[in-house]
Amino acid sequence: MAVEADPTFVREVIKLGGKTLKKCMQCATCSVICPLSPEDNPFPRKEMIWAQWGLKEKLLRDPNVWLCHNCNDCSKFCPRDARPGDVLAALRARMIAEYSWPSFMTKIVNNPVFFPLFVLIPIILIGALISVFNLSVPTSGEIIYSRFIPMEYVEAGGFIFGGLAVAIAAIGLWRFWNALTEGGGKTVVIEPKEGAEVEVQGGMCFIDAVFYALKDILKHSWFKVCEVNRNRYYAHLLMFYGFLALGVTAGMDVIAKYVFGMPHLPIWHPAKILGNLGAIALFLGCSMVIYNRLTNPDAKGGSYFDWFFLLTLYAVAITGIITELARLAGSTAAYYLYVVHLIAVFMLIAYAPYSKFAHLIYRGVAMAYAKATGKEPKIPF
Amino acid sequence: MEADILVIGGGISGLTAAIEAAETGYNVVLVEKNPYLGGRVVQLTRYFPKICPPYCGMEILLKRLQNCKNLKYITMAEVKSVSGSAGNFTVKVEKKPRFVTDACTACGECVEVCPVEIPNPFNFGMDKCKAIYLPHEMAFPQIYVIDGEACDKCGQCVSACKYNAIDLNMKSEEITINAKAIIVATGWNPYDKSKLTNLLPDHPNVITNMMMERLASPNGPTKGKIVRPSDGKEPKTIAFVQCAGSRDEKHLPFCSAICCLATMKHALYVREQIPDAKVYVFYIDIRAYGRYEDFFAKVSSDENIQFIKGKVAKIEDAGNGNLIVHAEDTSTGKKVSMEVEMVVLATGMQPSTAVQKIEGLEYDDYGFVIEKEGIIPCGVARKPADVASSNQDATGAVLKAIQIVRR
Repeated sequence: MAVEADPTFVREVIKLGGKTLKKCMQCATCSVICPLSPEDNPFPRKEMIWAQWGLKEKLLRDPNVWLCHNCNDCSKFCPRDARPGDVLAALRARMIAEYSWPSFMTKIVNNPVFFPLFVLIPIILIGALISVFNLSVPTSGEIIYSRFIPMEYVEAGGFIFGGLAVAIAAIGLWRFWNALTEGGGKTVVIEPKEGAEVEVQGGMCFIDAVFYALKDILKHSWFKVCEVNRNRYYAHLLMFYGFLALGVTAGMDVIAKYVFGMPHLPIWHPAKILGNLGAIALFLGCSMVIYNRLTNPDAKGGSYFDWFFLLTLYAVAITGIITELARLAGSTAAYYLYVVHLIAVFMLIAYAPYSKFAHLIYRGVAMAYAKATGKEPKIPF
Repeated sequence: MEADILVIGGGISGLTAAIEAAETGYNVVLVEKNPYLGGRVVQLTRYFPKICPPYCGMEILLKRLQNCKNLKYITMAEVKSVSGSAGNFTVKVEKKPRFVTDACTACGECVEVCPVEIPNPFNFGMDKCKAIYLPHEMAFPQIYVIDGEACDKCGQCVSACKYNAIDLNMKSEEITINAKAIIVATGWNPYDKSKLTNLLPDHPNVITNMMMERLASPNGPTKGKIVRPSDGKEPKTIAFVQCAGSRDEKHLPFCSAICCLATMKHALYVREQIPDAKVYVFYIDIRAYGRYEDFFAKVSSDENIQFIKGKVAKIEDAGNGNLIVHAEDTSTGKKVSMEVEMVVLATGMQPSTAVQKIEGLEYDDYGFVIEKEGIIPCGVARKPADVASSNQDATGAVLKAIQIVRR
């Protein structure tokens, strides 16, 4: 098979945060140090040379790029400061750009120049909503958001943009899956390797692998083995379960309203308590990650791609908490803060398939694929 | 004290420079930090290019040294500062007390009575010696020395010495040397292995390449028998870890130039002594420059010496004195985890001046000495080099120094 080198691809990866990739001298310290790297075809040493050579085809269907959890154990021990962790992060950004649809969207979402545009879009949408339906901020009385923006509009927006995001993510996932299985699609027969945890005979058994991958994700087992950035395990755990809890609360709100006819759950309601705990967890998790990125030399920096997602998530947590506090205090400022919160939520959800948020589907699938094919590392659980 | 040329460092480079300068008629002073001359070379079992013991070459040098009436050497002398300019340098030197005078005949009676034991510095602490000791069998000058810090001044050696050669009240003195030109031949130290935290540096069976030289040396801690330090067992499997701290931004960013060849030489020591031993050399690139390519060809044709392309990034204790080395064999793309009985870290050359700077000299980012008018570095003080290149460098440095002196 002819191997095609693509110098443009190298420049793209460098631009996405892999600026150190050319320093690599292939000593393979990284592959040995990495606690997640499998025995056979370990990463990230080979990914580093593929990236240097611009072997786009190989890299774009390499599940290992997603098995990396960016703990940067490799970067700490890299003798050339080639920071393989950063290079793999850049490759993940590049992969999202490759598979999400339409692909130009990823390019502009991840270009800092267009940041104002992406803030402007939700502002315009909400502004249009307010002027079309002639909505106004109540100046007195109990703070109930639907007195300002009827909940149905927010729900409709949520379903439209959330649904769109899910649909687009599904397209990306489908393309990624085809690349992983080299065009085999869903009929692929996965050859189990000896020692694989999951017995796989055909495509259907991939479901088993998905189940085990989900178990790993829920337990954060892979994060746990990182050594240099140990606190990322706790930080990601907080963010993950915080976000999950908030999602559950939002869902229960809708169910309570339409199924049980309870439009406003009281603060002591279990669903609300869960949501509030989730908000605190999300806030703490984001704070830990940001603090770590700013102070830990082994986790230093991060690209715009990382920061866009992280800060949007942080903004959702902070504006959510402040809005709720203002509401409980009976201040009408809550209405304005609510708008800011909606903008942040829009930015998080609507751009998800193009931002780092998409990692949850790509990594999830790569982990399941690795399990199914026996390419996963041996992790001491 | 006046000198045309001051040579700092009495290793192979400094000795060569001092002798060649003196043989051309100039007044030379040589200062050496250790209690003996010969530096790193005398610690070697055998050395390149002929893989012969260091004494043949050293003896010729020392014979020449003794014939030079215009060469004065001072041992246990550390240069503190250099000031002035080409043609007129002032150098402050601290001469540490030896506590033993020239009257010493090296009879060894003092050692018998000395109650204090210290880790033998010449053998990197792999065995013990007394606080009063001869640095090594062939030490020049052949005079004992007392470790001033370890000695408790009990005075038993003073009574045992028949020649009144021990003076426990000796103090360190400051010497000022005025010189027209200075040759810096301060050499190197093996890189401190304890900094290589992923390579289990504190395990007794993880030794350095210089410790291997001492182990294999007939005047070493085991009288030349290659055994592992923890239990004295003859190792049947040995892994050599190349670039242990070299070519590494976090340690020594440069290539130390000699370690590949040193390891290959060590592989031959092992194969000669233990014919059924297996040697594994883990490397990033083998750098056998110039004519040494033939040496590489010879060593790599030995079927018991296996070269594995991939750096050892992790060493684990197997519990039974053995070690597990982990690498990725980049030629097959598989991880290698191998249990071996001993590990030799090919630690690099760190210029002595990286650790102990001399005030008034200029250094590059790595601590090597930079040449400036009248101050000429040579050997490893200037860049990593083998013995033969260091000698050539030293001879060249002498010519540059003479040019300054004759101005």
